[in-house]
Amino acid sequence: MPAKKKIKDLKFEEALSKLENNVKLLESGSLSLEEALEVFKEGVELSQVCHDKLNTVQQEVQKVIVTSEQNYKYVPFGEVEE
Amino acid sequence: MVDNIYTVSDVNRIIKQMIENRAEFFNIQLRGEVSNFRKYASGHCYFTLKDKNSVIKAVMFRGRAAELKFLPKDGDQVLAIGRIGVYERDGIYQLYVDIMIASGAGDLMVAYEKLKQKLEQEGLFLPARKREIPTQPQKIGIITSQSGAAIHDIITVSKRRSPGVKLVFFPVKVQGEDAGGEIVKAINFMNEHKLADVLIVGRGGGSIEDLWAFNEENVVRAIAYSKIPVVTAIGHETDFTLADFAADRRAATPSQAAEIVVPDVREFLRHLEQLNQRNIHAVKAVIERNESKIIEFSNALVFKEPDRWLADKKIAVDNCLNRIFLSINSIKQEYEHKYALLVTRLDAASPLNIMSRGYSIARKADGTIIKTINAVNVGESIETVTTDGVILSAVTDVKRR
Repeated sequence: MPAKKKIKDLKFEEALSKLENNVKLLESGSLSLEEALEVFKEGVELSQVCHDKLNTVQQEVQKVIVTSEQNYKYVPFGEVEE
Repeated sequence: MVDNIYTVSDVNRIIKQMIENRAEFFNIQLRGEVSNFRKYASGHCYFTLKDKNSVIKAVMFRGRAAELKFLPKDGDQVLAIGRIGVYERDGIYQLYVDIMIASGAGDLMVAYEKLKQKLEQEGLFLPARKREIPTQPQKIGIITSQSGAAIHDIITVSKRRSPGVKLVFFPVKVQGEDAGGEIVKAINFMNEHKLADVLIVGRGGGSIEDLWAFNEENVVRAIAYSKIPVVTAIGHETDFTLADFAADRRAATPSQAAEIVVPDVREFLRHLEQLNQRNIHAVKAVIERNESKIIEFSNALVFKEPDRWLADKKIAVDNCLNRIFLSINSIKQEYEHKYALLVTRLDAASPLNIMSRGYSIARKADGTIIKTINAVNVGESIETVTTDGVILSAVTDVKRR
């Protein structure tokens, strides 16, 4: 089996598509009871990871300031207050 | 002269060549009033253009007519751009119209239509050129003015849809002489430094003059050539700027652009919830499907008659132990045999065994075995060891052999 990334280290898209695959696999009915429980458990973890990733990140607005021909820097853009 | 009789077709062909070879007729702009305007079911439009003294027939074929911004009616003053050609069958010359705009729209519109035609012919607006807008962008580039409502609208919508998305804002002028150049620079800079996965380029509406930067050729080209997909948001519901045609997607407003570009977290949450439900449902189904097996299992002997099951197991264990003992015994015997053989061989090599055949060992008082006459002096006490004891004696003489 290839080296698997830890579930927590997956990107959102990776975790979501893995979750989709798990559910499809489970729904196909081809798994034994033990396998099914394993896949289900992983699915729950994946869903938690996705959920966390959607909720914890903070909005970020950076303004690009060109400092010379080829250089630039970011400064926070303070427009976010409503 | 009989020789000089032409056919009608000959004459019309000659006239056609004469007219259509005139360079100023290839691409001509005509101002006039529309009359007898008819649009056929085929989509082609036939009409005449006239001024105070004169009329000319005109035709606008379906493909061109589809791009008309208005439905011309008799009496309209228009500017028509096209070529003069001859329709040989009917022996008429006419204006083949490519572009027609309401007169008074001004020079800007003429420039717009001309540039549009040119870029279109280059293929800059072809659907095949359009890049896909990424569904999960990490960084969204925004090229617009720092002071307008556009940036505010985009931030507000983005925040509502996806609190985690990163917005990279590149402020530029969006009107005035420098606007076009700044927009081009911003698009190129963001491409060069890969600052975003998708770009929103726009402003919050305005008059056609206000929007003009988005009709400039260098801006249109920068958008068409951008490696990062571009969504334009020029803030106008009805009018398309040329930038809109070159963009991969056109949004009517900056808010709509953000809606196109920023994935909606709430949708994902709903999707996630559905997946969770399906996950639970599916595992339940697997468990139910396996229920019969579980029942079968609980009917097994171990649960029904544990004593009998245990008795069976005991017999099996005994059998097993017996076999183990048997094999241990045979191993043991094998080693005993090997041991006896070794002892016999050891015996044969023992010095005691040699002495029993009549040899003895002479040694000095300190135990050193005497192997040569040089080892002893006359008068010294030595010992002779036999199988049954030790003889003490003194050296009286030494004879060399």
